Amino acid sequence: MFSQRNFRMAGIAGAASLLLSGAAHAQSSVTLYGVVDGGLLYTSKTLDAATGGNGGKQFSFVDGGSAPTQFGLTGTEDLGGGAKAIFKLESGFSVANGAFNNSNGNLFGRQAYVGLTNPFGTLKLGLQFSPFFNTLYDLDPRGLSQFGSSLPIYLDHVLGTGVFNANAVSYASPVVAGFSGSAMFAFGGVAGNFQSGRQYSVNLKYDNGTVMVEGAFYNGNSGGTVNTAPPTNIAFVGRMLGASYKIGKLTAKASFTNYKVAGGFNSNVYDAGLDFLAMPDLDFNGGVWFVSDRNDTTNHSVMGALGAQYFLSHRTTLFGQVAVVNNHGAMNTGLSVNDALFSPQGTTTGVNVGIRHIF
Amino acid sequence: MKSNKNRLVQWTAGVLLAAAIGAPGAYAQQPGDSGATASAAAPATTPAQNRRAIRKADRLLAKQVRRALVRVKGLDSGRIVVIARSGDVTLGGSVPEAGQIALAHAAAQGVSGVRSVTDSLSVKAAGQ
Repeated sequence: MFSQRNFRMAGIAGAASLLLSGAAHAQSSVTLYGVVDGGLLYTSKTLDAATGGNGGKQFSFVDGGSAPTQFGLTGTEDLGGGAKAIFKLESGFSVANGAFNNSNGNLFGRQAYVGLTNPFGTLKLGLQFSPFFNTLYDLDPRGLSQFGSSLPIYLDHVLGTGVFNANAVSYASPVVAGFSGSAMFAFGGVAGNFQSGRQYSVNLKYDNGTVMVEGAFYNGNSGGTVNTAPPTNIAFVGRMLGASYKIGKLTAKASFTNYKVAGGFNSNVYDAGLDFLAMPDLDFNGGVWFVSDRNDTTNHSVMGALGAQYFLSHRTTLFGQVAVVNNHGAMNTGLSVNDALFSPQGTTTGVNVGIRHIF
Repeated sequence: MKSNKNRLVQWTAGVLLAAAIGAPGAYAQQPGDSGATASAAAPATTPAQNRRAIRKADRLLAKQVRRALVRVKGLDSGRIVVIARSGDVTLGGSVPEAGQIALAHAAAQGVSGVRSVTDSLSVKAAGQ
């Protein structure tokens, strides 16, 4: 398998050098890319939306068990002097039935932006992830899996808010002495009311290769002209601070997040976990999350999750993951973004196995 | 698994070597020995110390490679895992774009002390 990989890599490197030498001027590209992720899901309990109680166990097919199924187009155009025009159009769908999923419900409901990049930074205009969400990805010990990670906890609090930010303008700095940062502002679009639906977010990261420290902030108002399902305009203030440390095959991560949702939970989330690349094609990871509502600490939950990934190739992965969550009070931390976003009170165990293909 | 087996083989070999040269080695370490004669009878370090030194060198090399990767413009090395073993470096984990694999490979190859670089990087972006 390794020799095959090396061979393939040598081929790609060779092709890349040919391209580079052949088109030094005005190099442009458009790439079609995506993720197809399907599998099976078991949870020992489900949340009955009508009663708020336990709706019984489920055994089902699940779309996007580890990564959101998506396809997109991305491109760059070389403008000379180190400057490039960039764009991305990304659609989320369900491998279970082909419908829109893993998005704000629109055709290119994950990301749709145009921008410019040069050695002084990157400017993006359009629907995009917030710096707050990007930091969540950097700090999650399980690669922000759709099952048993910081992601279900995030969506439990604010759904698509801060993930799919419409009408947004962002700037990301280059890396200077290990430091990098980004800032985003999203317009609400309501004439006569600048504050309605207004969102902004910033993050700052330091990384020397071994130690990484990152913090982020998010502030969003309700309202605005964008109405999507799931909603992306829930009013909340988010704060996050965390660190990662690499030693050999191990990456350790820990973080603190606060979601202060208007008229809802004011949750502190403490999270720690490990990622262990046992072999280049076999990865194990695990994490523990503790969620507590500062308004009423009766509302709290503890979740633990373990996962294994076997990389059949650069692009195809077999995965299995197990998670257990214990919910108290009104806290309803779920195990899976799809089909188990909320769990009822008590202990819920979940298992997900599947195949992920990235192209 | 493969690396564990290697370690087991190294360890076993080390123990056998230590047993074979154990007796004469003890003489060489007499107090008062200037050390000039030590090299004739036995190695100055035991196999255990050797292994520790090798592991330390591997860790240092991995750290240097990670430091080199994080300085490459246009490369997000946050999810790259660097495994070093006596100058042979394996890059595992993921990068957000396929084009960054070549950047990572070239940067790792350029670190002094790196003999070979093996890629095992997959492509996975934020939100994937």
